[in-house]
Amino acid sequence: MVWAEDALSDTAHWFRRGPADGHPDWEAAALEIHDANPDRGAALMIDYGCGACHVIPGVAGARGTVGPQLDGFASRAYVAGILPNTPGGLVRWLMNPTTHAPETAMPDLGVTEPQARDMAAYLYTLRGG
Amino acid sequence: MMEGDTQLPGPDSALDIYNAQTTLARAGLGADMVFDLTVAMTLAFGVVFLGVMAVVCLAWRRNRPAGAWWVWSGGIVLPLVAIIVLMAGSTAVLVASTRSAPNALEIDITGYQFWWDVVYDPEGIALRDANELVLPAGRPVTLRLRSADVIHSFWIPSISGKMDMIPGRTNTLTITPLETGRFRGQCAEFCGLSHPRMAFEVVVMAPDAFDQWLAATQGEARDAARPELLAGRQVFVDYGCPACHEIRGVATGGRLGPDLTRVGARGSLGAGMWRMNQGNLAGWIADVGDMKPGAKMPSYNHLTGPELRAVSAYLASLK
Repeated sequence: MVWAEDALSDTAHWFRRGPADGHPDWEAAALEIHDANPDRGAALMIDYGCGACHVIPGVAGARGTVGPQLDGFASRAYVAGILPNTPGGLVRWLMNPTTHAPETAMPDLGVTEPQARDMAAYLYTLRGG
Repeated sequence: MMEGDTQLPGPDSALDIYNAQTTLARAGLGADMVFDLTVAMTLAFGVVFLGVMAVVCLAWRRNRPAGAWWVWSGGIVLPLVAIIVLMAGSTAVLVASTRSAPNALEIDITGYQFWWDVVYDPEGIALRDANELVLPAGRPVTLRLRSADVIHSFWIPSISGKMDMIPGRTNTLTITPLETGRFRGQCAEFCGLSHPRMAFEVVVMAPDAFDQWLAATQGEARDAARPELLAGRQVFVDYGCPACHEIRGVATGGRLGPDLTRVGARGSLGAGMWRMNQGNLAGWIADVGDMKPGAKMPSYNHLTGPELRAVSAYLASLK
């Protein structure tokens, strides 16, 4: 059944990224994070309790309304209205939100860089909106 | 956990264990004996059922009215014997699985909408905790079960049968956990809007580890060791949290909500519902009603961002 799962995730991937009409999808390429695992990122967001404050499609129990909804995150221009929404900006935000926004309610949760990269990779699968 | 994780926040949780809440993963005397009884009854009455079906086939083939003997034996004696055997068997299991011992540890547990107040050794050290039950393996533990509001029911499927918690009454249940590990209990009687969200963690330790735990847990809460934690403790006091919550060594007397002396060490937050970590604590404080509809705690979304961060960091540090 391995081939079936592969085919399924390829299909899911295709739907997430959009077909791009056979052209290179530069926008998606700009959000590519090398060597990061979006599925692990989604699991980490459960472990860190992100869902208590954010709605995150595809993360179990993530229905919080304390902070902004994260659906369509890949299409946002800024992270928290502060950092440009690039892999580097998002990873830095996830690791140390209070460095960039001293008044934010979002705590520094002790997220390590590899963990932040996985989470960012997941958030960039949330397209549209 | 997963490969490549260097560190994860929060303590171990029954939420990460697939079969933490099932009667099939047996880890206690009651669960063991009830399972054996279920298997024995299923087999015995399977045989009876097959016998009855065989007689029905026989009657079909002979196709003539049965004598009075069949009616008496099959219609009255057989059911009577079956019911007596059932009754005797289940009563014997009930008595044997909840047998107490003269030196059994006593724990008071009071159900509230929608959490559990726990007091270890109420006649002695009277150590108060909440939403988590730490037990010694292989020792009978006598639970005195009460309710502060409506009817709840106490149930740890992997360890023992359930017992109702009825306002104005004290029900006693003796349970004997047999294996160490982490399990999950659940309120088993509809008690209001968040009844399904009224669960708890159960940690079964080796007896000597349990004694050590009990001794080590009695003191005051861990001190605030960093400026941010100190600020968080101040937020806890300034915003009136001690009116309902107790933290030993900081503020005592609040009994309307769970004791928070070791809240950060619990396996879960919100009575067995969420992983214990600063993120969930912050979300909980800012928007309780969203995470647990019907809970009596108000949402503290009037805290500033830094205040919310500080108080959630402080609570997470109470281990």
